[in-house]
Amino acid sequence: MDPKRVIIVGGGVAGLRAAMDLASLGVASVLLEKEDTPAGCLARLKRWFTDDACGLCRMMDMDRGRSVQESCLRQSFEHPLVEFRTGTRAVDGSITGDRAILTVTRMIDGATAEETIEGDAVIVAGGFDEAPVDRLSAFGHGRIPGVVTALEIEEHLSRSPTGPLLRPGDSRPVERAVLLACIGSRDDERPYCSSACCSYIAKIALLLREANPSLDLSVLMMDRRFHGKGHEIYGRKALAGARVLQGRAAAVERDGDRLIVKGVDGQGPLEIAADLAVLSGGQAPAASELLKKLGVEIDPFGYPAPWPGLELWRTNVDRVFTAGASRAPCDIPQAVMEARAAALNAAWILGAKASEPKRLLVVGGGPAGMSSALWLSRMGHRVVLAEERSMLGGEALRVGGDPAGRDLRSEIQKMIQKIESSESIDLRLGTKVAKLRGGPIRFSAVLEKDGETPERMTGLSGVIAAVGAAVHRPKGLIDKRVVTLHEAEEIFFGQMNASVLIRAAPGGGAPKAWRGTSPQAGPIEDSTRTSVIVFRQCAETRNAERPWCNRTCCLSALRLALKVKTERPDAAVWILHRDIMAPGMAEMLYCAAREAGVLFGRFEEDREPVIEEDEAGLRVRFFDAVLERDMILRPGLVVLSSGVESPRERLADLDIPSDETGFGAENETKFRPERSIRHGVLLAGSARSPVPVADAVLQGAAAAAGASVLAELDAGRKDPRPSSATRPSLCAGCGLCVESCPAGARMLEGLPGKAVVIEALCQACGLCASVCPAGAAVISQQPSPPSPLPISGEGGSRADEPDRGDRADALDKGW
Amino acid sequence: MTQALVLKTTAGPAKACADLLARLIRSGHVAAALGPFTMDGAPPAHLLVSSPDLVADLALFHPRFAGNIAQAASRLTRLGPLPGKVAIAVRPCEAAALVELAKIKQVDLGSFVVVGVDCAGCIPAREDVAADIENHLALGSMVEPIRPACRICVRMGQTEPCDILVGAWGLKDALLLIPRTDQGAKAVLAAWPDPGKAPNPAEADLISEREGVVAKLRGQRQEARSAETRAFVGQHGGFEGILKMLEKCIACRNCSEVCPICYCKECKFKLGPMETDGALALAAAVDLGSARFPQSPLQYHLGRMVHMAESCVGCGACSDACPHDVPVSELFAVAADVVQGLFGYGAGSDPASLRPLSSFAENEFEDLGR
Amino acid sequence: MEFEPRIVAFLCNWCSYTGADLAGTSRLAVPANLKAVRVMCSSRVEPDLVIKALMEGADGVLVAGCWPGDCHYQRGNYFTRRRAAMLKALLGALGLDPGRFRLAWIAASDGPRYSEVTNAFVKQVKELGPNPLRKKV
Repeated sequence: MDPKRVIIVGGGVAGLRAAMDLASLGVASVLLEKEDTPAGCLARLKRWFTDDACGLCRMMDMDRGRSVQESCLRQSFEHPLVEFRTGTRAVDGSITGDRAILTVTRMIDGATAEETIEGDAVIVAGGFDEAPVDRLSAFGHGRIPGVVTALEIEEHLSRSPTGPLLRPGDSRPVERAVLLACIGSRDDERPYCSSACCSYIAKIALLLREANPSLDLSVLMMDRRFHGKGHEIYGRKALAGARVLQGRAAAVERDGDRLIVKGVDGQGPLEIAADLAVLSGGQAPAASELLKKLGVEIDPFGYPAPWPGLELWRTNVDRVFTAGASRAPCDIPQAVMEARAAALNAAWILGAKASEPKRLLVVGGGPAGMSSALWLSRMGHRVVLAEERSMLGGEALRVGGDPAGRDLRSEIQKMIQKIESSESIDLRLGTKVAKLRGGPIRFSAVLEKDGETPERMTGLSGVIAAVGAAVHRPKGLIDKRVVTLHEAEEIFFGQMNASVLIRAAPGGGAPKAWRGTSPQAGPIEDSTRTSVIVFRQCAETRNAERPWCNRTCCLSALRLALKVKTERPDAAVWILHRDIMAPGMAEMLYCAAREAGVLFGRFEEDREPVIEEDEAGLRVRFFDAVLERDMILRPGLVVLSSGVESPRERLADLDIPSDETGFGAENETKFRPERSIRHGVLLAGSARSPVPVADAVLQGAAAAAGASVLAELDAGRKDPRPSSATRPSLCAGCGLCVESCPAGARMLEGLPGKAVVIEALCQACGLCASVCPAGAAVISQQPSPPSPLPISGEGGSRADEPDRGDRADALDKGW
Repeated sequence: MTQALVLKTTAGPAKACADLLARLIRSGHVAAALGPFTMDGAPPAHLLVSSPDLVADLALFHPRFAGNIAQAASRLTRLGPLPGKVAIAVRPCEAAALVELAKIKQVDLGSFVVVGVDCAGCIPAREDVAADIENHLALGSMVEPIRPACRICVRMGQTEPCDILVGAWGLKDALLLIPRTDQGAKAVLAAWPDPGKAPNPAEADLISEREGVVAKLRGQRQEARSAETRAFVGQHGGFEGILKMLEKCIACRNCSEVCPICYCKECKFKLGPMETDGALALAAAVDLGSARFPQSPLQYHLGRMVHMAESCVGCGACSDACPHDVPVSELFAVAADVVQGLFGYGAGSDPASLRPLSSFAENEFEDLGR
Repeated sequence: MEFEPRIVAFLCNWCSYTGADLAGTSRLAVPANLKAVRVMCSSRVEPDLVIKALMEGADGVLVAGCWPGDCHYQRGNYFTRRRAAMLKALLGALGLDPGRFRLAWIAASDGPRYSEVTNAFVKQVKELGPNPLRKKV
């Protein structure tokens, strides 16, 4: 009987990550990629946000124990447990019982050949296609020179040598450029938001200005959706120096050699002359047909229908999982985390287990921590789950609902029950983790519980920090009618009697008279008092002190606003915002809110709304950026959406570094989003960045996958491979190698200290060998795996084996 | 921080400073003192002295350089801290070496009470002249004739990692005692437990007098140093000249032996591949025409340069030790200024600053690599 | 006979070696003067190794690595960059032409750049002439 294997459709980021994770658990996979090289759309581009670098190969470090290749992932991918089939397209498939059968096509000698591939589970990671813009002929793509899509211009810039910025096609110099967001997204045909494009546009802005520092650049965006971790800071940095207009393009017209972009912004119609217009169309799913054939329910846009539970990667077909951009529009770190979760789930249903059960610590019993604990225990590890409060659930217990309509409360309860009844999860409620010492494979922690002596745990292979983030209480809670968003959730979901706080409008009815409608008059005042609730978004966030988007506030506000409008259609419900962060399918929630009559008022960062109280009651005054007028509202309730506090201190207690926002610093922002800079510690949930509950569960699973790989490194299975070593007689214990090691694989031991290598973590990069002046740090002379690339051609150069005159060799001979 | 004190003395600053050390031993605050010692006029050596009477004969403010005492401190403590505290008297270059060694765990500063003393320079190693250092200090001038390394020293006023600074510049028959750390303050209290018998607080103008001399000397020496290091290579005939200069080198490695910064237990450049692999040597002789033994002193010196120029404190122990008078300290001063200047790193000045070649910044040297 | 410089090129395994290979498979012109040594990371190359290469007959030394930010080991090339800055400054101060040492960032997909960099470097070293150390070791 053939060993079990998973079929992975798509050899891009998500597919590669899933294949490697499965391999680390000893599960074989067949990776199907339609192009000739891996990496999907990333192969066409040089560098990616938010660190504007490549680093695709950095996905491969922890997996070294299993002979993962040591060459650039853009060119090839090889692994003993992965059958990588390039030029192979999956065109049909079905699941019967516990077998999956896929039909694939390949080109052989110019003809299409078909083949069937069998497996025990399927992960569809087919990625995305750039949403077609040609259907919007008004923009002239393919017709007017200088009109390009975002991917096209980036590929063009990646290919061209350094030089002046010339537009593709006719090579005309570009002095003025316009970036247009949402062309083919957030419209009638494709109403969802592609989630990652705003940051993508920001990157394009950076690339264009790098090529031409004196470029006149305008950006037309409806919302600046920088909702991802680090994106607020990135977006600001990237768009500094560009003229950012809030609006939307309607058409591009030719004007001789140049073009004119026509659109609207808040103030009315606009026209921008330019040499280059970049259309950002967003993502369209690339695997819809296959998913349909596999029996997966598809939404009208080709994405899998959202899973009603909290495991985003699951589908209605038991053995079919999805990850990455073919599941929902996303960016790189999201794709990586989804792939990890999907692979872990697939491995589990195939019966894979850890080769040796290890002890792992999960700090925090919210949705992320619970998810991690459950997955690690399913893999057979001994998990300690420490939660400071006296019950599990964290802040998720206070969240009333989910943008996709999931029954959050019951899902969380299910998780809690599973944990409480699990035999392999050592649950410690009311317990605080006070100290976290050591490193991967050898962590030790001190657990404190009131009334008990502190307990020291040693020999922990890895730690998952899912400590969450506390709710931020903004200033301005001047009155009991001004509440935080979290309190509003409680109000509307049964904790408090809402009618006590909501002052019914006298007589009700739609707003009739608005004073001061003539342009010359003063502020527009809602004197009819029909406003019931004002949601004030971005209160004390997305500013200099707290430069991040809290990711959940707009979704909650939209959901609550809709709920109020459904119950009180006559009430005026306002959402005052800078941008509405409704990425992905949540855009439809925004549409629904607008259609239901929720009122939206936009204000700019430099003119914050003012909330006061006078004899007549609450008074909200804001400068509407679209109408360019002051507005005065008289609500019965004001909800301040101010998100969470950064968990910097809590993380610092555990010696876990945080980044400039105060949330956990990632080891690598794109390809290692679930790993902390501190080796062996993983991050999940709001400790990493504020996220909705379902994403916290996803990140918990991804962190569990990362911890699993770490535990496997600790287990006996090791393939011989080069590693660093120390010649103790030469070592003076200076510690330079320890400080410089990028993998945290060295430490000083003993008195006097001598450098010691933790082979399981060593990447054999050689930095220690070059930093050590004495030549005490050496890399063992085992040859590295042969390069999979052909070395040929008259022009080529041959790579010799590593230099023979190594000091270690000389010493060996001389002594 | 505790107030600076002025120690009036008619016996001279050396005796007064030695008296301080003796007091520290007598009070039990330290178990011993480490400093230069000379017997019957012989060149000084470093001694670890526990007898307070012997401490009085310590050759502080001596015109001869006895090697960098930081090396002795390192040898004493790099395997582990001392069971008791030791007072160590250091010149500015020796203090700087302590700072650099602490960064790489080659010295345990916690074992020492560091007493930094002002230094008017030393006489050249091979010369035998009378020099009244104490007078030079009082007058605010450097010794003449002066050792090459001291001629280009810019370390006057060095403060790290001293617990107590002993100021002598511009003072006659007196010494300034400036406690810099809590440990220094405690030490001073221990030396004079009876406040009635303790030295008086120093007047502010005495302190600023010294600081003025320090600043003036440092400025002069900085100019001299810049001029000398810039001109050195050219004066010796460019790269060819440097090669010729180094041809005298017999690779005895004395310079590494006495260098406080060279901490390797076995020098990587001691034996090159050609000196262990005969076939390689023959191949080199065939390929290049000849193979030299010992293998390329230039490679040894350049190799040592790229390893330690970032940390070189300019004490000149290397030149003193060279049997063939190769101007190693001046050559390394050129290298040190180039490397340390490139990274804005002052060896020995800041215990918290990271050694430049084992640290990095994400955005720097943007032109390189393009 | 025209002087053909001997160049030792240290190529990092991830980016620059892949780029070099791409140059080869794309049949781009790459000078034969290079003796290529593949290292896992450009940071493997300690400065005294560059010195040694120059002492033992190389007319020029090239160290190639990933662009800053792209290093597989995240920080290796930042060390390489500092070392390169030091070597250039030091060699220059001692009177040895810093043009004999070149640091180059070469991306994995940039075969043309590998060809460009290596050809330009060989030309540069040719103009500098044989390494004065060749006879003086």
